[in-house]
Order: sequence, then C-alpha cells, then structure tokens
Amino acid sequence: MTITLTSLDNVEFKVDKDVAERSILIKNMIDDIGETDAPIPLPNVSSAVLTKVIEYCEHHRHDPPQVQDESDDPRKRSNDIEEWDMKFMQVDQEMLFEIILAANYLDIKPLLDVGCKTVANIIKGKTPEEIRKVFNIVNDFTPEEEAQIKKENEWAEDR
Amino acid sequence: MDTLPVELLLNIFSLVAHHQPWLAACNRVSKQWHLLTKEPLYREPKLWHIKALESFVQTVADSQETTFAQNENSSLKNYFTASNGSLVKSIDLSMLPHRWESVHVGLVQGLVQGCPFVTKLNLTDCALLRDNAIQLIAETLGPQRLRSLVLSGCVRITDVAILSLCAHAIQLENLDLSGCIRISDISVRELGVATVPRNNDPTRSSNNQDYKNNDNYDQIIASPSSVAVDRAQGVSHSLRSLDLSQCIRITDSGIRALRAGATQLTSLNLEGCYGILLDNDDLDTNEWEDIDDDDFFEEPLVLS
Repeated sequence: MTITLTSLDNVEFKVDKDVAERSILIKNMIDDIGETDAPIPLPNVSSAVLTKVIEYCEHHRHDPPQVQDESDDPRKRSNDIEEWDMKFMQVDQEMLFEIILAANYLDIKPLLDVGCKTVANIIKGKTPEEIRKVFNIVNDFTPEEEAQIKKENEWAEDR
Repeated sequence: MDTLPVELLLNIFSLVAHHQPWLAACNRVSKQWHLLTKEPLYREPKLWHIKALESFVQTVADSQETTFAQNENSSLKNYFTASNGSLVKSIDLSMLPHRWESVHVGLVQGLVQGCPFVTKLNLTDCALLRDNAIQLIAETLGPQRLRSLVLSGCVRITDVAILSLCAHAIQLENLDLSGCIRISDISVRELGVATVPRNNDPTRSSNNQDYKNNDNYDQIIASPSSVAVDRAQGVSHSLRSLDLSQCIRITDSGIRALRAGATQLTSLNLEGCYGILLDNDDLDTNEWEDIDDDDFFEEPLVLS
C-alpha cells in the first residue's frame, strides 16, 4: 500500500508504507488513524528535503529496527558511518542541517544519528576559528573573554 | 547551525566529547557553545601530563576567585557564574606519567579546594603523598560527595590518613588501599565503626545543636534540603567495596572487627595479606555464624 505525503510547499509524494514508516512520527499517525487515502501533511519539511529523506528511507527500507544503546565506545559511535550514508550526506551545509531537523521532526533516529555524526566529523580537529568559519558562527566573545577562556582551557588543549 | 535546537547541539557535542581537545575547541567557539560544552568538558577532565594538571589546578583556583569577584562585574557574569571546578565529578590521575615523583601535596590541595564536589578520585601510585594530603582530601571532599577513593600504591600513608577519612567521609563507598603497606588493624577496625554526626562537624561532637552555623560548604552549594535525619552516616554505613590487597600488617583481628561493623561491605580484597591466617573456611563458616546480622548473607564476600 502507498502513503501520500504533502510537503511544506504542497508537493505530493507517494511512497510505500514500509518506507514511510521509517519515520516513527508517520508510523504512529498511521497506527492512530488507520489506513487512509488522505495525504499526510508535513508542514515542517520542504519538498527538496523530503526528497532526500525519502531517498534515505527507501535505501534503508529493509534495515532491522535499530538496536538501542549501540556501544559504550564513543569513538566507535562517531566513526561508523556507512559508505552509502556518507555519500548521501555530501550536501551543502544548509541541506545538511535541514535534513537533521527533518529527521528530528519525523523521528527517524538512524538518519538523525548519521546527520549528527556528519556534523561532529566536520568539527573534529578544527580550531575554534576554523569551526566558526565553516559553520558561519559569529564570535560573540569580547577579546578579554576569549583570552580568559583560552587560558582556562590550556589544560585540555593537547596531550 | 543557528537553527539546530539545543538538544541536537548537545547530541553533536557528545560525539566529539571522547577527544578532549575537540571539545575544548568547541568550548571556545561562541557563548552558546561555551555554555553547552562547559559541563561535559569539566565533568571528567583527562589530565595527560603534569603540566596539564598544574594548569588545571590553576584554572579551578582562578575560576573560584572570578566567580566570587564577578558579582559586581556584570559583563562576564552571565557566562561564568558556575565555577568550572564545581562541575568536576571525577579526577583520575592513574594514567599521569611520573605521578609518583611529581604529584605533591600542593597539587592535591589545589585540586580538592578547587573541585569540592568530586565523587571519584583516583590517586593510584601518587607515592609522594603523605598523610597530610589524605587529610586534606578527607576534610574537604569527605563531608561533600566523595564516593570512591583509590590510594593504591600510595605507600607512605599510614593509619593517620585513614582515621581522618573515617572522621569526615559521609558517603564513601569504594576505598582502594592496595599496596598501602603501612596500614594496620587500627585503620581496618575504624572502618568498621566509623560514623560521622549529621552536622559534618569536623570535631565530631556528638551534639547537633550548632550545625547551622558551622558548615561552610552548605552555604556554597545552597542545599538546605539536607534536613537533619537522625540516622547515622559514615564510612561504616556506606562502605561497599574495600581493597586491602598487599596490606601485609593487617591481621585476623582487624578483619573480624571490620566484618562485624561494616554493614554494607560486599567486596573485600585480601590478596597477599599474609598477616591473615584465617582460611576461607573460617571466614565462610565459623566466623560468619557468630555475626548476628542477616545482611551479611545477602551478598557473597569476594575473597580472592
């Protein structure tokens, strides 16, 4: 059976039920209202983002349900992005954050994880200035505050 | 990046947190990032070399001063109100190179005074430390939240150190004294009977009348919720795990007294305690049945 999803900009997407149900939000909706032909509105997600999200869900439609509490080793947690997912996430930054927000809203935990890991991987190894530059973050410290925090953090900087 | 809600930012920071320099870099990016990464950065500081330890001690000492000094100076106030040191939960020096010849009492003093709410402290093989260092720990951290203290290989400490712990620690659950060869039955007996009056009074006065005036730290942590409950607290009530391996001066009499008094003790390591002549059978049968307390049989004694 197919489900119809309507994006923010009123584009309709027809997807298989098992693909749509990768989103826990949509799964719960379907469980609540029963099977219906009425389109499901997703007023927080644009068609461009929804296209990407559906692409992800189609590729992962046969994945087993995610096992909670993957591993205690955080090193592993942030490094193990599948190759397909890695390619999938090679998008501009705006799209990356849109995907993360959509995954959060639609409650697609594996996609959210991949998105957050991708951002984390960008952060790794960069100086504060490089991080600001890459994410376009405004440095709102005064020079004195910045100097103070730099001094405070000296113990943590390197090995 | 601005569009991400805080919980997603925290999720992202948790993915870089295992590598301290990355987290420290995030800490310096912006005010928002600073606030969000401060607690994870300071919760369990990883100190890789003695310079880092010295610099850390300096930071937690300074941060206390700035915290109190900044009450009038409002420009920094919002972002520096919780002192960095007060966020520290665990300090582990067991991987610090040359700690046996470089960690001295001055550094310990800086650590415990800068980080009063530490719950776990590991000083394995900090062999320079003497009783006065442990007394500082006992008096400063003991009445607060100290739950685990590892002094393995601190060969210079004596019963004086342990008696001080017994006098001040209110919720110590894990104590590792392995290889502390000067420790004797005096310590072990005291661990079995030590209680601390609810008022945390350093003099151990048994009378609770003046406790409101007396407790410095209560004012700092502002936790008036510790309503006086008339239940004894202290090491003999809180200790769950004790490692006395290689403590060669300890004898049967000390262990018997400990067993009789320490009601929560479920793990006791006596490996290499050659002063103890009881064999396992003695501990398992004869001695046990003398003890008039059902709690002892709930969990097995670990004897290795």
